[in-house]
Amino acid sequence: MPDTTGPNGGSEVLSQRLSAERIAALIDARVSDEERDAIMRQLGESDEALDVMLDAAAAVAYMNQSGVSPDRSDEDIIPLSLVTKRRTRWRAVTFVGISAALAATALVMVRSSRARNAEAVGTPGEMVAALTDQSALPADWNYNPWNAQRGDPSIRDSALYVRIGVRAVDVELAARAGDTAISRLASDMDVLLERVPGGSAASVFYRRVAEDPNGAELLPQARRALQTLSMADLIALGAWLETARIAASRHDEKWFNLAVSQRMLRRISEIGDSSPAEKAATGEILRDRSTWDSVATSVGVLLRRW
Amino acid sequence: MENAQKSAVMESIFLEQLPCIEKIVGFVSRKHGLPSVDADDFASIVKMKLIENDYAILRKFRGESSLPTFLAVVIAGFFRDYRVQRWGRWRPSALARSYGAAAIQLETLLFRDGYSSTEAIQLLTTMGQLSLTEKELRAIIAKLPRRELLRPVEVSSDALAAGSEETPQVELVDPANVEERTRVEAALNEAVDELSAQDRVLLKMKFWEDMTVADMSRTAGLPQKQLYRRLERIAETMKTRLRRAGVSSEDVRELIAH
Repeated sequence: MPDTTGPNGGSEVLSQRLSAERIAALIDARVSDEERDAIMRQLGESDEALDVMLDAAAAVAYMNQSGVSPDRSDEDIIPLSLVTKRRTRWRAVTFVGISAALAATALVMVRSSRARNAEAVGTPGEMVAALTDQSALPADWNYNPWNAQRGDPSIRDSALYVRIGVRAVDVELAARAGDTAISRLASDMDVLLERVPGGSAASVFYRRVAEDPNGAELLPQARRALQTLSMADLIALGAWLETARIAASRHDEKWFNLAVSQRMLRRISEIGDSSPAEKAATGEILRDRSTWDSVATSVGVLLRRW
Repeated sequence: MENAQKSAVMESIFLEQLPCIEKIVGFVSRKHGLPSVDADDFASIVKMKLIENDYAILRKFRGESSLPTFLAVVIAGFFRDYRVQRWGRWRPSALARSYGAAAIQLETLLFRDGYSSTEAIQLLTTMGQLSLTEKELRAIIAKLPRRELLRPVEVSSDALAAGSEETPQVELVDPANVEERTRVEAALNEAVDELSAQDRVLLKMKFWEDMTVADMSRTAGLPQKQLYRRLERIAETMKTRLRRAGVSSEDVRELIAH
């Protein structure tokens, strides 16, 4: 995709001469006297650019007053483009800050990746990847196997997280299978995510997946954004239940024998307020697995609760 | 750095800045009186634009300001684009700006969105963002210049049948008042245009945006003492010009009252 973003920060209002970054530098008082005079002159000649600056300055003042903005130290300046020659001392400091930030980010990513492997919590993508058969779901697949439907006020917040896990698995499988249902499923994710705190970042990615023909390319970002949500356990539970339902429908013995599956089943069996039917269903999947029909029914029992 | 790694870094920066982005979007939406549906729409557009082309906007950031300030400018720019796309080249009048946020919101509801004055007042009072009484809001409406509606207003068939639906400019149709407000608006625009470019910026910062002198001093790079003197001079110049243009003393006091 061509990158048409100029120095105006993507806005059509700001001109090439008066970039978003120059205005931001003016608000932060990080320009020389000559530069300041030049920018002020340009602002005085462009009502639109001046409006942008005034709105931004007011927003910055508001954030400073309400303590929302991160501390404006050089450490929070991120080296997003290193092509510009650094001419001043603070820019050199910025460069060091950027390198440190990059190194720290990489370290956190490696650590979190290791932690994920060690705990093997099983993200929706990982669970789907472990399925033996990754073909598309049949047209008559019941995508809403729960009792309370959308809009029902009885749906608890915890149910929303479980359903997000369920739908994330549907999206992942549709992506792997090249199923056109991905658009509808990702759109469903968008709606679910909008309803949980902090879900808007992930919802943006899933919306793109739903709307853009090449949106599936954004799935890696969507997955990562999903991992930033709280209630990861509930999302993982939903993902496991949906993958289990799919695995049962495909008689995937290998998938149920995975360590991650067994671990999740044990966690489910430890849930204190399970009904007798749910306890029996867990036992059936964990130990008996008499027939595939009974496994599918048992997963259905566990899923209906949400 | 590998592209995938760069993307991951950009993405983590985006996620990290998301609370800040949402605060800025919320602030800008409130400042311009966007109804909640439009504010949600605008918030989605901002996030989309920021992630477009693999976070191109964030990648272009060179670190010449703090990232939150850069985002504030970028989002304010997006708002201008959004406004133009939705409502054309609509901007609040100079008079409305001079009278402050309530006047801007009232003018927007009346002339951009086509609400009747009663509906506009009801909306503003129920939104709970303003502490002004209905009487005070009506007084502000009376001071606004007459503007053409941006687009035709849909009127329900019931209202047409009743023939008594209040039209948007009901309080503003007093010809004497309309003429007077239009004249004041023109005089104000002319007086502002005659200022030097830098004085125009300072005037708008102080009298339209209510920026503190401390913030202005930082942005304009002028010591506070010097800035106070310059603002006084600008205010005097404006008063003289407005009086010369025949604007009443009462209006002048209200327009340059800070």
